[in-house]
Amino acid sequence: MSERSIVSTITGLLYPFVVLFGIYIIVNGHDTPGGGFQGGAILAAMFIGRYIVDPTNDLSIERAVLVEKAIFAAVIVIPAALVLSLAAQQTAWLREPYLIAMNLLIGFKVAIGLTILVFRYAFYEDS
Amino acid sequence: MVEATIFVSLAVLAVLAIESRVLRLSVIYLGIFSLLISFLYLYYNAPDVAIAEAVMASGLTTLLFLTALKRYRVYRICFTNEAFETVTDRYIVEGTRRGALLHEVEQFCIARELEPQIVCTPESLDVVSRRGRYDLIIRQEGDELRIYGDGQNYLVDELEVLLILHYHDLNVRFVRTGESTDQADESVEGTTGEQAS
Repeated sequence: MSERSIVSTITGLLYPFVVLFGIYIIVNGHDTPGGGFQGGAILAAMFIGRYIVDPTNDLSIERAVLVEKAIFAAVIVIPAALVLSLAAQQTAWLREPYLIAMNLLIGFKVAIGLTILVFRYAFYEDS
Repeated sequence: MVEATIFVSLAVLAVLAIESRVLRLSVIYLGIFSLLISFLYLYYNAPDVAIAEAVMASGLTTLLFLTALKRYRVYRICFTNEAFETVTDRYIVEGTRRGALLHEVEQFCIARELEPQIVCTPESLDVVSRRGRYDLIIRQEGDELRIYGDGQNYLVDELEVLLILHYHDLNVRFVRTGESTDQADESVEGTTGEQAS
């Protein structure tokens, strides 16, 4: 597609930086502004921006839904297990890794969820 | 001072977004509007909210609106003139009779809730029609304006009556194309179906 080569080249250059920024916001969310939701939305914006540049449907929605469900289950199970195990409540060192892990899970869940939303709307819903 | 500037520009952008007749422009105005609001949140020491606003409103909803516009009924018009090296946008908005005609076509589309998208190009008719994504091609050849439209589409009939009535001095001639390329046909059929319902 030669007509869109300027836009696709620029966005191609930007992708790694957008992904890095999104992951930075997720990972550093527990002590700076940001967090799982904001970082996940940035990651989703990258996927949707790619659709605007090159509208090909190469994302398997079923697989994405499966991954999202798995992450959602993890978001529920991990805090529950941590609360139920009394040993974990006495260890202060677990606090930071726990927050980072939960932020990562929520971030990926939001990213995948928003991407599924837009891709479903763009490819499957009839106007 | 900063606050007042942002508030005034917010109001101006909101009015522009509503009053603009081109949907794509409205989307861009809304994007700038949300970006300014997120600056305002930052100014009020709420960086967390500012990030959420910038990402969601300025990034995601703009992209979502653009995605929706891709699916909106866009009526694509191509204006070709091989005699010129380059055709700029100024070429249509100048106060000429030809500019008035293109404006008339634009108003025609807006009145029927179609989003007109006019492309001006010096490329030849063959190149343009092979690309197959225009619903209407207007070609200038010397003094003559030839308009190529799908013969099946009744919008083209209405447009023909309108233009020949008002612009007979411009040498307008309509050429009906039967089966054009698939993509163009599809979108035209889509528009007629929507209009009929």
